[in-house]
Amino acid sequence: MQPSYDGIRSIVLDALKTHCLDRALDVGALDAHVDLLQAGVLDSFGFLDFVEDVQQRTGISLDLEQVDVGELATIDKLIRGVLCASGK
Amino acid sequence: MLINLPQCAEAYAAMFGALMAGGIYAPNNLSAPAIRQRGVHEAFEPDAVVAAEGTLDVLGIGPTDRRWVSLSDLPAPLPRRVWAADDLAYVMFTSGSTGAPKGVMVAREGLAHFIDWALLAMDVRRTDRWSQHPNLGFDLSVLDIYGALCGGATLVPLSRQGDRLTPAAAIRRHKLTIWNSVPSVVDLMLRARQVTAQNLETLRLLTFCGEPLLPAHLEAIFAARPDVVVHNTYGPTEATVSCTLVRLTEANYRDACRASVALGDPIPGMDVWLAGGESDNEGEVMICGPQVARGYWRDPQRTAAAFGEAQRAGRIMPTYRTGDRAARNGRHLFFLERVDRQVKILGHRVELGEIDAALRACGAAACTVLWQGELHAFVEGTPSAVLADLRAALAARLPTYAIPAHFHSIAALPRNLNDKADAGALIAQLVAGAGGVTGAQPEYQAG
Repeated sequence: MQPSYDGIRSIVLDALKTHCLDRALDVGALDAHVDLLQAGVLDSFGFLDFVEDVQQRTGISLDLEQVDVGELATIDKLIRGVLCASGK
Repeated sequence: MLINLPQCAEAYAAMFGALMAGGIYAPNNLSAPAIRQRGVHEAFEPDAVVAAEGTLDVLGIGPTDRRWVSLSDLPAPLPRRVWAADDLAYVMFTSGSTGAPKGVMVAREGLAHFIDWALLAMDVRRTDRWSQHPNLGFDLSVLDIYGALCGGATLVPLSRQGDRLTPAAAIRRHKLTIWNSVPSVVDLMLRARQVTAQNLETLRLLTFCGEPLLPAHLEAIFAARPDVVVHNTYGPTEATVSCTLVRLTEANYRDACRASVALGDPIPGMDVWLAGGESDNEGEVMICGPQVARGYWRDPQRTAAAFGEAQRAGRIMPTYRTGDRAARNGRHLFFLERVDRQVKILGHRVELGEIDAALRACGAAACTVLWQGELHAFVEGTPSAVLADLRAALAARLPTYAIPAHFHSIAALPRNLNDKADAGALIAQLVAGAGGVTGAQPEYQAG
């Protein structure tokens, strides 16, 4: 079954909860278009771990040789990146 | 002149322009919190600010205080060509322990000495294409900017977020031949599985400074590219970027590896020695020579505490006590820890860095802090269930009193603006959590 935007969103938010610097942050309330690095939600290392975690949880690999991972630093862009990599 | 620009040609031109016109400049770190950027502006009190239009509100410069000047309207002052050794080149603001920015005054003599050395040591060629990764507010950028432009090479500013985070694509795209950054960037590339022969194909030299380079970094680099040269350098901002060098190749690097990679030998013209230790082979790193800064901007008290003078080659030269502890092992000098990370537990002298090194040897990236008389180790990316095993492994390496009472699993260690593990932020987490640590997984407490 092809993954849906909402399905990936749920996985991304769950992963974000475990990686964001402020554990008290309500990640569900985050603007999906805010840059997680610039907003200080994640630092560089945390962001890469978060992206890795999302790949493991979804079973979908992002080709980091081809994809500019820094361009996937919003929730929305990451969801779309995962959907794109899944072939949808 | 305050330079309020990101890495770009205009910023580099402003630096050279300020120096040629006889001025001094201070670069501001635009990634820093607004309060820090404002603090630098207030402390430096510049006559002019070279800025992108959108960056001035952060500095607290209101619209009525601004008088925009077009570059084409400015008079062209005749470049001065004669300088006194002590004339300043730039003031680099670093974070001070009190929270107020501390301006390091680097003299033209120091900058010229450093760049003369860099051009020779790095054998800079006109065909080189050199990365410019460090933020302009971090003095490692001085090596890129002056090294490349004074050597006739091409300077490539990396300002895109993706290029800064995982630079492999930028290295390939720009066919870079020289890479310069803090070693943490290699960690980021390793996590993204980017340290490959293909990604590093165009590089001939990688140079690192700013934090300990680790054997694992070198193993990965030389596994990918056995034919590159790696320079590990050491030096505080107060000694103009760096003042030691060890040149590493696939053939010799193992000799320079202990818990971290050797700092190297003093560069020609600079003296580095160890003081205050139990022998000449261990102690606080002291530096003397033309690259030592002329003190802290408008802060005679802190200047007197850290800077001094010594007779050298028939001339009085400035000296600087670094607050870094190092030890000589064989022919190499190795960084141990900051002097201020030495703590006492039950009367025993304990180096927090030694605990971190032992954890590193057990395969864990960690930062240990002392809080309320007890040691807390924050371990990166390790499940809580594994922390008990880590403690057991540590018992084989450290005396009992040096084993942290508390272990915390943390997704990623907080890092400061220069990507170094931020012990202050970890203590702040303990203070904020006071019982339940915010930002960390449930802790494992040693029994």
